[in-house]
Amino acid sequence: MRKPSSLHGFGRWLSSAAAGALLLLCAGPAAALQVGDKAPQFAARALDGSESLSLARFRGKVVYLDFWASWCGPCAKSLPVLEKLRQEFPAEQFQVLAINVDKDVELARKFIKPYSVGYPSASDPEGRLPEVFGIPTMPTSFLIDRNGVIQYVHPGFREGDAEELRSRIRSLVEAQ
Amino acid sequence: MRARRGYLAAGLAALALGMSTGCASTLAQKISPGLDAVTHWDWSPERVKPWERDILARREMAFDPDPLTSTRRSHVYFSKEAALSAGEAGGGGCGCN
Repeated sequence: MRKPSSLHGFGRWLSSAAAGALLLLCAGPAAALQVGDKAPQFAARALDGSESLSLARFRGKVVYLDFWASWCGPCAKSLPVLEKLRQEFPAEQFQVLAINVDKDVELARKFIKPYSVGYPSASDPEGRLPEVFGIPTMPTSFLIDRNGVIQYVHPGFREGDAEELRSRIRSLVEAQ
Repeated sequence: MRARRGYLAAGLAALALGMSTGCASTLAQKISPGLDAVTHWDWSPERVKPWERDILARREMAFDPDPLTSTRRSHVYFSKEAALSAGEAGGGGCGCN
C-alpha cells in the first residue's frame, strides 16, 4: 500500500479550502421574511422629502407594505389598485405604506405624480429595506396585522390580485 | 492526473516558501502586479438583486431591445438570401421562404 505523500495531503487540503471558499462565495442573501415573522421596525425619509416615515407610526393598524420602483411594470399596475383599497377601508384601521427603491429619487417622484396616490411612500435608494425584508421579486408586498406580524406575502402583481388582497385585508381589519 | 496535482501543489508550496524566505524576491517582484490583480479582484459571484435592476430593467439594456425591428430585419434577410440568419434555428432548407 502506498503511503500518502505530504504533497498529496497538501493538494487535498487545497481542494477542500477551495470548495469551502466557493461555498462561502455562493452563499445567498438573508432569508426572506415569511408569514408569522415579526415585521422589522424601520424609519425612512418620505419620497417627497417632507418627513420620516416609520412602521411604528402605524402601530395598531393593519398595514399593507408595498415595495415598488418606477422601472417596474407590475408596480405601475398595482398603484391604482392599492389606492382604491386604501379608500375602501377606514383610515384608522388600515394603512398602505409604500417603499420606493429607485436609485434616482426624482424619477420616482415624476412616476408617481400622475397616480395621485393618497398613501405615503418612503424612499430607500440604497436598498437597505428590501435587503432586510428579503424580497424575492419586484414588486413585493407584506400584509402586516395590528400586532406587527406578517400575515401575507404577495410577490409580484397581476391583474385579478385585487380581489384576493381585498379579502385578506378585510379579514385582518375585521379581526379583533 | 494525480501527478499533475502533485506538481501543482509542489509549485505552490515552493512559491510560498520562496516568498516567505525572501529567496524569490526577484520572482515576487515580477509577479506581484499579477498577484495584486488576483487578490484585489472581486471574485464574489454578485447577483443583481430584484430591487437593484434599475437601469438594467430599461428596454435599451435588453439583449434584444427592439424585437419588432429584429424580426423585420430577419425576415428581410431570409427573404433575400433564401437562408436563415445566424440567430435562427436550423430549418429544413427547402428555400421556400
